[in-house]
Amino acid sequence: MPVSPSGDDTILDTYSEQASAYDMEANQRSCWGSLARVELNSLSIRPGCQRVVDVGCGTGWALVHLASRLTPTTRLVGIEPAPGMRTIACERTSDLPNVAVLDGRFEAMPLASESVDHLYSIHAFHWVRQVNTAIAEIGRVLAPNADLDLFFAGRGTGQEFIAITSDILRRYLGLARWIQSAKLRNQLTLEQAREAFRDGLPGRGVEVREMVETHFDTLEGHWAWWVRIQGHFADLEPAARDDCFGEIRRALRRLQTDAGIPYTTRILHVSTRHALDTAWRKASDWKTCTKTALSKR
Amino acid sequence: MSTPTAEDIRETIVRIYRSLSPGGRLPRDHERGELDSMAFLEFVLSIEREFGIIVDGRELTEANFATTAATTTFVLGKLASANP
Repeated sequence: MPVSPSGDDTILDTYSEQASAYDMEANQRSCWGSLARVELNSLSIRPGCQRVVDVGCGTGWALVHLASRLTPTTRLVGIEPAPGMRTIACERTSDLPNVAVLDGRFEAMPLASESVDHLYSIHAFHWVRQVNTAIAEIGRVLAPNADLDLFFAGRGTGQEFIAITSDILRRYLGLARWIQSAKLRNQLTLEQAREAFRDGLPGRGVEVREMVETHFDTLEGHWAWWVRIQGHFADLEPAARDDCFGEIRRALRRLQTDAGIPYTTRILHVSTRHALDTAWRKASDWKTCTKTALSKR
Repeated sequence: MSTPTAEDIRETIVRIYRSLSPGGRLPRDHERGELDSMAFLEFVLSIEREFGIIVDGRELTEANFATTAATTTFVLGKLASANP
């Protein structure tokens, strides 16, 4: 179905344009910001680890956090395809001699084969266009017995929002562009992820788990992250975009409950067995962690 | 292989739709369905595979896909033009 070329550039452009807003408090306090912190804290980097890689490192906040936890002999490498994000990450880590930020993506990492001891990624793998190519590339760069932790949005994430916004988006974007928007991301089901990673990374003891959590927030709280990811609005005229956003906001308000507006995430965690066991032991009270973060509003 | 009838096509479209819709619900005859954009993308790709046709981007319109009847007519037309 040759609708149009790949949407890679649309996503990269969107993230680059929004880079300066990415670290703003509203985004950090959102459900995605809270989840990201829980996931980062669940990482367990083995002692003696030589090289740790963050794919889709964004503005580099996780690299800075990990650099403070690890010994200076551990090299940290961030890989980020969006130039705007990468620039901020480079500036943020410029005084950290053991951290480097490079241009690249899951499908093509500027790293030698078998050179990575721990590869992690927080909320980036769902933007991958060629899943099997990306998994093969991960397998290429991982050293034998390396650890892996990928956290990304699985299929069905945000179903409450999708159910009430799909018709609005379809009307404003038109059928072809609406479908094109689906091609901007690649949300796998748990079963699809298990099959892809077990086939693509044989012999590494890869496990995939799904973590389902409903987050309640205000309209503005959700809006802080929701607008960021909607690269498919790029072609809309400003007036039409404003009208579309107005309708979406009214629709989201109708989801209001006493606890707030619900948004259910289905996070897939792909991990080697060593990293998975450790991460889940550390984040064994996952829901409590997340809810606590949100209740601090 | 004989050309499928309109009823064959309609049944196949409904089967594909139900495999993707929330709770396997049937499409409503005179309304837009309940598929989100990702499911709709899979819907179109499944139609391409099932009927051996290619849906051009310019053909992705409400006139062709708003209802089961519209989609059936569209597929019939594609098959007819491929096998005049």
